[in-house]
Amino acid sequence: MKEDLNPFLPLSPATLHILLSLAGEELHGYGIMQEVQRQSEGKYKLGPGTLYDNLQKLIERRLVEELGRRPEDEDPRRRYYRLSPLGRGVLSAEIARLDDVVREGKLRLQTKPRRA
Amino acid sequence: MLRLFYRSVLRAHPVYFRRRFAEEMLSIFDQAETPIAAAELVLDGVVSLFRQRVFRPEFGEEPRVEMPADGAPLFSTFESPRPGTGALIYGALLSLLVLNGICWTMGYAWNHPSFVWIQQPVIRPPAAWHKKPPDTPGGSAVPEQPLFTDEGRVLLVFNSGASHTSDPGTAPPTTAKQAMPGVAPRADSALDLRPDVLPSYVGRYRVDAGKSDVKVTVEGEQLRIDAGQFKSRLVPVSENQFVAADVADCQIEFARGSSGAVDRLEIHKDGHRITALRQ
Repeated sequence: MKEDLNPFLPLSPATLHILLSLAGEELHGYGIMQEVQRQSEGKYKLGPGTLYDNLQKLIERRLVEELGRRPEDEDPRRRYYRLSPLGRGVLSAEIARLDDVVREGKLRLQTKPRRA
Repeated sequence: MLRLFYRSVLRAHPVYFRRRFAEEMLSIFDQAETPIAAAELVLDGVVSLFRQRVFRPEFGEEPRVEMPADGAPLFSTFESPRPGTGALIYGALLSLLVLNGICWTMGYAWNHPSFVWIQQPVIRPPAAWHKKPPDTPGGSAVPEQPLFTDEGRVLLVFNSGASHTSDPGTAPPTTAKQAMPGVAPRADSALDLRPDVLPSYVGRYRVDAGKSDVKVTVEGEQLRIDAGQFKSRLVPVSENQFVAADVADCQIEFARGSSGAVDRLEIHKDGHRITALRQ
């Protein structure tokens, strides 16, 4: 049975960027911050307070899974996170929604304004 | 310094959030390359603290564990039964504060005049002690003798003048006195003082707290003290030290200032000292 994803939408900018950064690979917190900065070309900077506040909520809602520490990491204090199947579905639904918004926006902006 | 402050901010976060993310946040702080970046992280930590404390009460505690549906009771906890280091430190500080408060309150009470003036029961020696000694016909004085000996401390009996009478039934109560600290009281109550000494002590003295006055007068050849709560004759044990004859365990000491005039008296009672300044 397919889960209804509408209650998760729309996503806040911070949540969207975190899910997007985790869509490619498993990352630790610092890696997520760097990936968000790279995706937004430095325009969106995520602080650790905002990051872990959102991660806490995403884990609680089962959109993100915590993988724990990796002893081989250069800093053993780091924990890794990954996107859950539900999170991937929510991200896909959000992208589709944004896609519709973008398409509608482009359509509206290309329409010539009516003359009075 | 900034790192220490950042750690303090992280420690102030709700327990559940702190346990899950504080180490990682500190790890990110350690990656900061410039002081400005570190300061930004500190600011972010303060904002996060406010956010977690005010807007995230649901994440303040550990999530509850799902109970099994088979009806069997399950007792489990994620919390360690041992108190944390922080709890021990805060507990020790709190204990010290409470102990200091109690000690301060007790010290204030002990030094308060209303506490000191509590009357003590007068110890009266047996009437047989007032009997004349056989070898002193018409004995005009009861011999002074140690009443108790307690590890070198001698408790002396100071007899009033009236106790010199031959009838013990009419004798006023005789009081057992303990030696004033640092004072070697003379046992004979008939200490001869210069005629001009006693009048120099006469006057009104005010206790430190200013709530009561002590009046010293002279009657005949004997000083009397009126402290409000008690009145007594004063028996000299030295030129400036006296024992209150009608009050238990009470000694008076007069002190002179740089000009040579008597400017204060000290009342030693029940191990406490009250100073009164001459008015």
